[in-house]
Amino acid sequence: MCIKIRNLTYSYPGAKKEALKNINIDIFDGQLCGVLGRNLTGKSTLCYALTGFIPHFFKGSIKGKVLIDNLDTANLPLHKIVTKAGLVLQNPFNQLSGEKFTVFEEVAFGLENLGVSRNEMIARVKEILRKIKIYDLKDRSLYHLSGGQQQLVSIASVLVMKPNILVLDEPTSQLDPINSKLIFSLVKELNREGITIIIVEHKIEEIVEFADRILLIEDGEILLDESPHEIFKSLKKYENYIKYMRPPCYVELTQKMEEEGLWEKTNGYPITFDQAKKEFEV
Amino acid sequence: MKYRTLFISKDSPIHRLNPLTKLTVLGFIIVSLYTINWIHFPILLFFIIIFPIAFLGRVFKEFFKIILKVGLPLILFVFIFQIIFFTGGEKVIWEFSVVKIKLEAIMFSYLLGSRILVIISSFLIFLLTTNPGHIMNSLISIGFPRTISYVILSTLNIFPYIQSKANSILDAQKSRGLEVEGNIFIKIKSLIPLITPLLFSSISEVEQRALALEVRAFSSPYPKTSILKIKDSLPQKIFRITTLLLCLILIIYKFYLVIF
Repeated sequence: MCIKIRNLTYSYPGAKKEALKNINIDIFDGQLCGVLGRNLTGKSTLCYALTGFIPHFFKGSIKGKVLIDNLDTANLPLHKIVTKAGLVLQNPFNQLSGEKFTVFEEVAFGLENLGVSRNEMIARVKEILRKIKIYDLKDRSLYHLSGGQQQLVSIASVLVMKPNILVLDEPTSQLDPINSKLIFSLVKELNREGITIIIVEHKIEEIVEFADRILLIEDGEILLDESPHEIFKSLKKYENYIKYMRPPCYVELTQKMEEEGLWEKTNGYPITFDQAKKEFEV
Repeated sequence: MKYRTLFISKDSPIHRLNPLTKLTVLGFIIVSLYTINWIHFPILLFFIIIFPIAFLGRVFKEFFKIILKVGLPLILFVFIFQIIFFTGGEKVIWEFSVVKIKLEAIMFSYLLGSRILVIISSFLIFLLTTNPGHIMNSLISIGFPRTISYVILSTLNIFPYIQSKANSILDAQKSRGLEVEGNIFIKIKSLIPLITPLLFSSISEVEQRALALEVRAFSSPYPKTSILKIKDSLPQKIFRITTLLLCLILIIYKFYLVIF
């Protein structure tokens, strides 16, 4: 098992309200979890807890445990945790170190901090740049990249430290649709290669397409933890959550068609384009 | 486009110099400014040393633009402020109500303004021609702790960051109908809705930035390594030692003049 969260309750320093309430989750190796929820409901806080930034960076009141590979993150120093669980933030520009100029130098920043030898560093940076398909950008200035390219550099900068868990906090929220697609296809590929991924997103169409499970957070609590297909199997099942989470457009469409007698549900609502296409094929 | 550094990657003799050599020259310029008392020395330094270095470093256009946009208004402000509020001096050359413009005030403001111009220009050329990673490594190599070096680097590079941020905020305010074009009063008025969001967003980004650094093990206790290899040579080392000795001589000379 990759991550275990047990009875985690957390509130930020000085805050009266709890940001996370009694969270219990098990995330298994190689899983891809999509985290959904409205703004300010605790999604980012969960990301910080999963990557050890709570309690090492954000203090405050904490109860319960977060275990990564059976090691309590509270007892592990942050520089050790980042080699196990990497965190990618929303704003790609804010993730640049400010100390480096080219893509190659920026990706090496984490390894420099970890004291990795120069030769090993060069090899690892080259390897990750090739893997993420941005090797051509290696000598480019960080400030002449598109938002999507900067986000790919941020992901490379985290992955170069070889974590087996990648936590992405709304990585496409500041990107255009083309760049967002780039990030989603990379996330899919990384997951196929065995990296456990937890991704916070609002773009439900994209998430349901490749997530093994969906965690819905509301007011610091996990309201729902199921596979996307299970959630949208019946209207009865997801109508309780409709105010917190908009269903994929294919669900909305087929549901409307069902109401008007134009389509009949056999095995749940289609959640992806391919499923919808299959449904309508004669 | 948002920037966090002034560095312009080019191939020039100034770019190829070891950052420590450039820092030594920077130090020498500052020391000479305050030890050589000749009133025209800073201006001479500006035209004979700084200008050619900017040309040689192939950054003259950018250098000139920043000096014109930021340096000159600042120097002008200091110049006028000093002339009006200078307390010493006897030779009054112009008088209006309580304001007396004295010759000594003009001389002092000229010296102060030209010194500021040279200091700003020197730092500017250093930042325009030095890779930020090289600056970090150089500061660490002369004994600065990594965190302090990072703070120094960030402070040196605050101008492009604030400028790009201010531009984004100004664009946002313009789209909401804020009038920014026009006479000087309209321009000053437009600064008010700019300063507050600039200040607050900069403060709120500090946490984001610290978080982004920690995501990549910035506080790790391991001895840091570097992917960059900084070139150095024997002539540069000799040059640095000679320049430092010259600085020392200038400082001793200055103290000698003060004491005796």
